[in-house]
Amino acid sequence: MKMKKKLLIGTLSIIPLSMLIYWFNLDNKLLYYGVRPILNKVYNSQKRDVKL
Amino acid sequence: MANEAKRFYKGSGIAKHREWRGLKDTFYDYTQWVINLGILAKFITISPVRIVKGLFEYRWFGGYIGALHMVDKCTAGMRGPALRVSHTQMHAIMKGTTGMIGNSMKGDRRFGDTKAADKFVMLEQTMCPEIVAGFPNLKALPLEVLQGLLGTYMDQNLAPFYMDIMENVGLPADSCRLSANAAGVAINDDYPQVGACLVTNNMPCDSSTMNSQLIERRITIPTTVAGIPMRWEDPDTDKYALAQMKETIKFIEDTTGEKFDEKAFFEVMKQHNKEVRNEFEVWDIAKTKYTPFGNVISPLFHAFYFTFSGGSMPYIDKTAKKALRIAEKAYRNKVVSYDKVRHRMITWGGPGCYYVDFNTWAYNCWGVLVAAQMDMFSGNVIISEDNLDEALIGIAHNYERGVMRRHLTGGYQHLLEVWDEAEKFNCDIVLVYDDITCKGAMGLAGVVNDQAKDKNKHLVWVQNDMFDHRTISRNEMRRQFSEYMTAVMQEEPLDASLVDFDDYEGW
Repeated sequence: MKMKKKLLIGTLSIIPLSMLIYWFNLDNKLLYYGVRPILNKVYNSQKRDVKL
Repeated sequence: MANEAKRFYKGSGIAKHREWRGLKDTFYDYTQWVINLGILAKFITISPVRIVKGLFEYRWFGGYIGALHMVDKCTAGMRGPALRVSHTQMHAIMKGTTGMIGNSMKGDRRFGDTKAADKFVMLEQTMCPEIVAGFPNLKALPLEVLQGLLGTYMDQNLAPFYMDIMENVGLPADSCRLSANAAGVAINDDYPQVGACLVTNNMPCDSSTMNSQLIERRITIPTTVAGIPMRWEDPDTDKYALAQMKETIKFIEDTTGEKFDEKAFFEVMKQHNKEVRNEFEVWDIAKTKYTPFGNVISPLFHAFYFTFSGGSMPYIDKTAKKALRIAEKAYRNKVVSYDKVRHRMITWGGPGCYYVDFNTWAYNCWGVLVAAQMDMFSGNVIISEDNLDEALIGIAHNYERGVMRRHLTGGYQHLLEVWDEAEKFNCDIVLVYDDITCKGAMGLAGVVNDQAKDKNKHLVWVQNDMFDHRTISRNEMRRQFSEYMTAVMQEEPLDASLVDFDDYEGW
């Protein structure tokens, strides 16, 4: 019963949480300021056989 | 007066918060954002490990993390039916694009040999997907577009890295940016190693031919060139086009071991024709003031299915019909989706792909609705549904009237079709993009200017460098257009904060 209650609360809290992420544009902020610099570091460290 | 620019961080152009569109439309936009997340989640399931590997392997892949940002940019300022139509069409674009990237990774031999790799026929640049229609066990996959055009829509920083690679090995810096990027990706060995064979074509310009040669050096699968006539108005070229189509089909049979299936082929042609007929219905509504089409996503949807579907993606027809239902209802109820419109504009020539939402900006800043743009007039050929030779010629015709071919290299008269289309779509302003490295269109600048004077039409030129925002930035494009609106049209901006703002470092 307790488990079910927790599951229900967890499921229901997804909606307001996702609304917050949406409204404050947290998805794009995370991707632009967080993920993008990490990816760029990875790409810049790559050694490529650049030839014609 | 609105102060929309305040919503964004200076430099990055990232929004501090999403747009308030009123309770109903903001909630609707939220639900569509959730659907987009669902599409992205489904994308990961295509091949989770390989997709993560691909993200860290390919620099161009990293550009796609700007996808949700792009959706926001392209729907900015939209309300009611326009917002609904745009999201509906955008879902199909996202579904198709993520599907193609997912398949590219699934079949990428770079991450280990896989039988899935042989299930794809790679098509270079704008090669028509209809050529694979007779092979139900095979799928067409684009080789260059994912690594250039589509990625640049999401991240303006994607292509400059590859163009610099191309220039650093001594190749000409004044070539078309699309070709320069494609060559740079090849030189940097950044194409996925996927597919049973590759169909290239006689490109619409010299620099495209150059990149084909460079790509060929990096590709290990069999390749062929489909030579499709450029001067397609001459009916004598049909015989040649038909022979080329048959040769290409035989090449696919020989390299994949699959047999051409006529029944399956005509099923796809029927779907292709549905897509074209839907487009004609869109145009009927787009010509009126009740249109929810136009702006950015609607023309993008056309360019998308013309380039990648050709009848092979069943959800394109469903999407188009759903969008039409929304539009017809709005028309019946006389709902004006774009209620800030002061002018209607048609855009022509090669756009700055790093500024995919230029049309949205023109509407929000100046009240100028882009009712039609050149890409909408690509293809649109009804293909025979029961005669194979006629159908193959039909595919060639559809392709010959395609992106870059019809208007830029298909004969000068087609570039000048802009005046007729402006008339049909009730546009009082004509914007011609001056893509500074496109030699195909540049030669006609004087003729276009003269015709504008003769016809007494409002004509504005906006320079861009297609994939390279460092040469002509988005703000510079805005400046050119704003100068025209102020000096010639004698207009005041609807939102002065949008006239000049800094988004140079952004996606």
